[in-house]
Amino acid sequence: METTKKVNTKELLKHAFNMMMLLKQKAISVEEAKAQSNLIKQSNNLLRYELDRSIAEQKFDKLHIRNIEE
Amino acid sequence: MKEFYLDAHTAYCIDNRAHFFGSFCELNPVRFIFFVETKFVLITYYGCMNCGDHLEFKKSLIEKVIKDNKIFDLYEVNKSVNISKDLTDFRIRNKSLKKYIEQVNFIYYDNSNRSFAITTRIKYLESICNQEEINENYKEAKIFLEKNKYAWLLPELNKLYKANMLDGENELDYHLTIDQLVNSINKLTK
Repeated sequence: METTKKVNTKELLKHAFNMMMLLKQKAISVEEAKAQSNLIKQSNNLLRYELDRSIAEQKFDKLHIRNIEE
Repeated sequence: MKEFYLDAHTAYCIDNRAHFFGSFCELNPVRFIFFVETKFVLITYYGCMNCGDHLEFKKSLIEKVIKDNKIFDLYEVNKSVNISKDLTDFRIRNKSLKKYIEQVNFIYYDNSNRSFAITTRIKYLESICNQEEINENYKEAKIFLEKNKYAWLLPELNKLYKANMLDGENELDYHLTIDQLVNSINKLTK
């Protein structure tokens, strides 16, 4: 399945809000909400890592951090 | 950036072309910029259409494209948006997040130089997500105007861009708010 959505924190925030609203309206089941919240949490952690990494690289000139893909 | 040509003359112009207008209206077209969703649009129409009340004519053109619009004095448009503050208030002070904000589609001035804005309501979160696209479209529009020798339209473009910019963007706030939302979802599902 392909998606045209961008992968960034803003989209993730919007998605998290939508999930919250859907759960409050009982439009999705508890299991689905749990699964979604786990995925959102993991995605958020990955994006947070990217942010922390770029901040660290800006602060310290000679810092070498292993690429997450390696 | 898209440019649209309105290929129509007024009835008076067509009837009196030989005696009065000649090719004046074609040699002196009118151009203006407006903003819709995330795009800047350039409209060009013949000068003869501008002979009546040109503001009313421009407004009517925009109203055809953008439905459900409103007109405000420019300073009255509620643009008091600061993403960082709004998200902090939502997280820490449990304030509800804005649902809608006004998007400025067109800015115009009356004869006394009083500024007005044609606006539409858009979803707050939608507008946050669209900011990057707006930034890209703004850069593209700037290049387009400079390339096509429409540099005199740049102040108009800048005003529209500034009117639609959201202040106080901080990446860390997004992460913290997402964490907060995940915790709330987990609390609800327990």
